[in-house]
Amino acid sequence: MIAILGLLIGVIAGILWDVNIPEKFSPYISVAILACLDSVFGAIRANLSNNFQADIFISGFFGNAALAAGLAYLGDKLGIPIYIAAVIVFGGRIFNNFAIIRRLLIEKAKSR
Amino acid sequence: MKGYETKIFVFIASFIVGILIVMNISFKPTEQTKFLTAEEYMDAINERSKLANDINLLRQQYAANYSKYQQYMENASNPSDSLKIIESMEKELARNRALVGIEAVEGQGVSITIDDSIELHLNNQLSDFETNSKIVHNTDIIELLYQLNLAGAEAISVNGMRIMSNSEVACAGPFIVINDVKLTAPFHIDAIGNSQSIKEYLYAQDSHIGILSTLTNPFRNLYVDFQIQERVKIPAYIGNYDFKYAKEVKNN
Repeated sequence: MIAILGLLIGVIAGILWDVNIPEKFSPYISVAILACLDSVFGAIRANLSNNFQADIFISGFFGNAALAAGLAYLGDKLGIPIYIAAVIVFGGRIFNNFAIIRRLLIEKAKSR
Repeated sequence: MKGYETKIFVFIASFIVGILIVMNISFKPTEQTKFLTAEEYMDAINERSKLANDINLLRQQYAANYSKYQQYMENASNPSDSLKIIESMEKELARNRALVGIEAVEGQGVSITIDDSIELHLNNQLSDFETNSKIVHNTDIIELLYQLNLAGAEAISVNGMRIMSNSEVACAGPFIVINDVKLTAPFHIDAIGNSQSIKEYLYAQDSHIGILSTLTNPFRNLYVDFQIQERVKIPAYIGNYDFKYAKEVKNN
């Protein structure tokens, strides 16, 4: 719940703030967003399974985003679509994390 | 306490993600780049130059109208000069009427008379086909009018019928109908314009063959009298020249 609330507030703040990043950075930011989403899902999962660690989360959140954007940039320069690697890895992990979250939530609901 | 900490972190993280998403989506309509084919590019260039031309023309029109307006305003303060304004307006109106054709005009030009061939009366051995070729047809008159316009004629009349933008030249048996009036041969065509160039154009014999050369050749052998006149008077159009369906375009 808290994640959706944060997302909503973030979206509203973004609209009010009204900054646009230059178009040429747009694809890198997209990959970075994917990495960030993955970290958020990972955090929710860790929270549900009670092994959340703040330092790991923060380093993962920013590190993954930076690495994904950097790889996408590097791929662009080299002419290889490396961003696909980031998309596949983070996309797969998001689904994985979501599956685990789902399972944990349903088990919690059943055990109640 | 630990769950609380997690919530704060997740909240901050999702807040950042939300901002990033909005930054990336951007709800503003972005300018879309469009790739043009060579043809579309040419069209666009043509359109642009056409619009530039239009703008130029409108500017010139504006300048002319503005100077006229200035003149009116200057004269308006002085009551004796208001007569001058009316005079210049009337001059303009008369010029427009002459241009349109509802006013008689005169000037140097040519008068042409065309009649059926005299062979019709002398020779009764002609076949139908030959007889047909010795008669003045409405198509001859139409072609003559076109060539007069091409040669730069400014006003034309046929047997006193002013040729207007709506004038028809129709065949009606032994008659030719112009401006709803039935006319018979001989046809007197008056035209105002540069008489020398009209003569050269109508009698041309090179790549372009003038209509009068065609009419006077031995096959047609029509009676053609061509005269250069110092003063040709072209009467005004008689008839109704109202628009029923056409409407003025505003903001033209």
